[in-house]
Amino acid sequence: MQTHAPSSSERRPPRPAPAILARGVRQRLGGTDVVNGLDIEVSPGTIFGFIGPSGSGKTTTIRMLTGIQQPTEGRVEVLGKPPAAFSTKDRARIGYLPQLSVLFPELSLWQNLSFVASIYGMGWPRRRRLRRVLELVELWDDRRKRLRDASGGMQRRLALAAALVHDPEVMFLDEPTAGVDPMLRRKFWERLEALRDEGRTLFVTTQYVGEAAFCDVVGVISDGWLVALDTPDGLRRRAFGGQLLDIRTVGPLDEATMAQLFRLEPVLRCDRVGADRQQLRVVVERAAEAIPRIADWFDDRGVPLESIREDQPPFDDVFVALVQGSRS
Amino acid sequence: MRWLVRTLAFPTKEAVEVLRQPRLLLVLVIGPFLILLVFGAGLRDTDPALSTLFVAPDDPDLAEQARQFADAQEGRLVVDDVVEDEDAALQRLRDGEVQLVVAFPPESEETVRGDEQAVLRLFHAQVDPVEAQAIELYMEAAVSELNQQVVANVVAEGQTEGADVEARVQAARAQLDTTRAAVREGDDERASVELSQLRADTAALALAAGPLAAVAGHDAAPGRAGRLNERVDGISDPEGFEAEADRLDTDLAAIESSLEEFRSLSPEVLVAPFRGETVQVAGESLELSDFYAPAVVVVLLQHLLVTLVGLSVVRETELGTSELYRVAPLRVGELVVGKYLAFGAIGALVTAALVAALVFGLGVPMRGDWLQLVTVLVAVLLASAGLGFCVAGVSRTDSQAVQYTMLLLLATIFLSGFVLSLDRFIPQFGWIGWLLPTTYGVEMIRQVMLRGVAPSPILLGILVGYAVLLGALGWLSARWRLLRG
Repeated sequence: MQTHAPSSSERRPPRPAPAILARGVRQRLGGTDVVNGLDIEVSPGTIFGFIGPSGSGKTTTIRMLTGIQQPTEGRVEVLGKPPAAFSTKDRARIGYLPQLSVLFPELSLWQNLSFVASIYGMGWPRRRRLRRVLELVELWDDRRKRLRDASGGMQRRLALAAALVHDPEVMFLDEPTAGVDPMLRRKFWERLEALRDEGRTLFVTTQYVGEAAFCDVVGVISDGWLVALDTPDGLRRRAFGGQLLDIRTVGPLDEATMAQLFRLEPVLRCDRVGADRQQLRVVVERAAEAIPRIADWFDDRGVPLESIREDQPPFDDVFVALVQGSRS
Repeated sequence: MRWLVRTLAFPTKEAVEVLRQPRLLLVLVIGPFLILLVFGAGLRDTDPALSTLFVAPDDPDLAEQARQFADAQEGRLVVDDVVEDEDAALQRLRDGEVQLVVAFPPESEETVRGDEQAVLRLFHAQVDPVEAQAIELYMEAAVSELNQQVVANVVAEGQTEGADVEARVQAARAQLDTTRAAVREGDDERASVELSQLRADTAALALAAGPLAAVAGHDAAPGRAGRLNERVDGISDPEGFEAEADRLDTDLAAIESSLEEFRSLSPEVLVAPFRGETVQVAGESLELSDFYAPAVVVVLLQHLLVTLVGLSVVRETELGTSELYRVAPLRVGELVVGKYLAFGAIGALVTAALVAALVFGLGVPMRGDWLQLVTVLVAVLLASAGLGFCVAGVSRTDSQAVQYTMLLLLATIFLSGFVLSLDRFIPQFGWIGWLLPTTYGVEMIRQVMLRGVAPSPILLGILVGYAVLLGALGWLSARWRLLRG
């Protein structure tokens, strides 16, 4: 069973000014358009998941949003200002977790975090804040360990700590869970959700498609093009043309009954699954409404059902469907 | 105050990074220091002794000459053997068994008597031009010494002969007194006999005393000797006898005095009245290691700072940390000043340790003012840190930075006046050394530590100007990295 956070629109009223805005953004590098016509708008206090395969333009987008790169074309704004025009105060409101570890292998975890706090201008004493952040990412006990001796997961957690040590309003996290084991990834997302719940805006890129479920809004990027932008549920709907039902009958289902089911009003599509002619995958507009009607329909025809339930296919399938759809 | 916090972020971080890499410090400071220490302390103050074969014909006189020559060059030459066959000796030289062959000329006496110089040949197999030149200079000095020795021997023989001549002079003066007495007594017959004896004595003296007196350095003596016979003829005249006898006695006394002086002087002084003596007015003379040691501090300081700053900046770019800096509210000036503070402190500590080791450990003289020394070293330190930023500016990877740093170190060693004085370079190339900040540092630290004078204000001004220029370039380079990646 999947869990995901409610969308921002469900939790709080929309705010007028987006925390992150991109309009018609294009980035051309080495004669190739790495990002094309990107349009996104991220509301404050939400987790925006930016999902796509390696080389699809995720990091380039983050680099444009953080002001590391200037877009070739289009408009980018973070907290209402183009990153190129950021003052030091504006920059202090932003947190950044780069894709690779950029901290210093010879320094301890504590020393690395203290250094990052310093370059964000956090004065002394700051021990309490550093401790709180290290405890948040469960690194307090390992604070004296050198970064070079820390595991990959520890290094990513330290990077997360470094991105939020100065208490930023907007955080750009470039593949924060890359190379992290599944258990830890789950913890990571729990922390990101907690940060979101504190009112922060998070722009998170990931290659793990399944992590879309933790986001409020997801942008799917492929070959530099934004192929979908929606809530996780919206993406599923978009990928398969509606919600999916998994139906299993007690005995084999004949062709005539299949044809009649297809003509039933909430049913948009109907396919057999497996060779035993007992399992169906049915696409409907809204699963909650369709399940009782379809169950009644089978009952009326004296066809006993073994089970009927909403099917939530993994986001891998959703992603593949969306990318294939966009390419076709 | 946030700018201060951001600036001070770097000293701690850089210090911890450096201290956690003791090998880096070892390679950058201790290694070159030890190498240069071995170079300075291990270098001889004098030329090394050369294993030498003497070639001398089977002639007792020549063998004696060869022996004298070898004795005179003790310390510079180590006599391997004395042989007669020159070809065999040269073959041993080519085979590397000996380093030098000194061939004495056969029949040198006859050659000289034939009004020709006898040639003493010295063979070597040196390919090193400096060593070859040293051998040529040595050859000139050795032959000059040999010539002096030969002349000194002749003079010594002359001094021995001078004793007989002196006795003759004394006999002539006694004969003059006897003659004078016979004349005064009016005994013409005895006077005539005594006068004949006096004439015979002075004639012999005129021949022998003239050349000896000339060798003795009395310009008037040969004239006096030549006039003896005339004086004797003069006293034959009874009217002018007394006056002429007095003159003759004066001449004989003068000749006697000259001969006495000639005999009293050593032959070595007579053949070489002058010798050279150098006096160093810049304090006590220095050991070779003392001369190089202060410059070592400057060279190491530059190498350390350029390497640390260059590698630090390049590694941050390679690691991606500069990307974090670009997103953070960090200003370029804060980054640059922070690194100056960080590596300046590290450089200052290392330099203080080096200077203390040299002055208090190895006894290298510190004749000047400590404050002036600190001023020079701070200027070198700032210029070197700026140079480090420039090296980082042209390096894409840390291996490139290391290569540029080594190139700079080579240029510093050979062109900054560290090993060879800049005056040794021809003018078309000598100016290149002045492009290096170290050149100014090397010159000034020698002024302060070895001469005990204040550093040249012009050199100090140029070095400070260099530090400012390189700092500005470093700032531009860091800005370019932060803005463009």
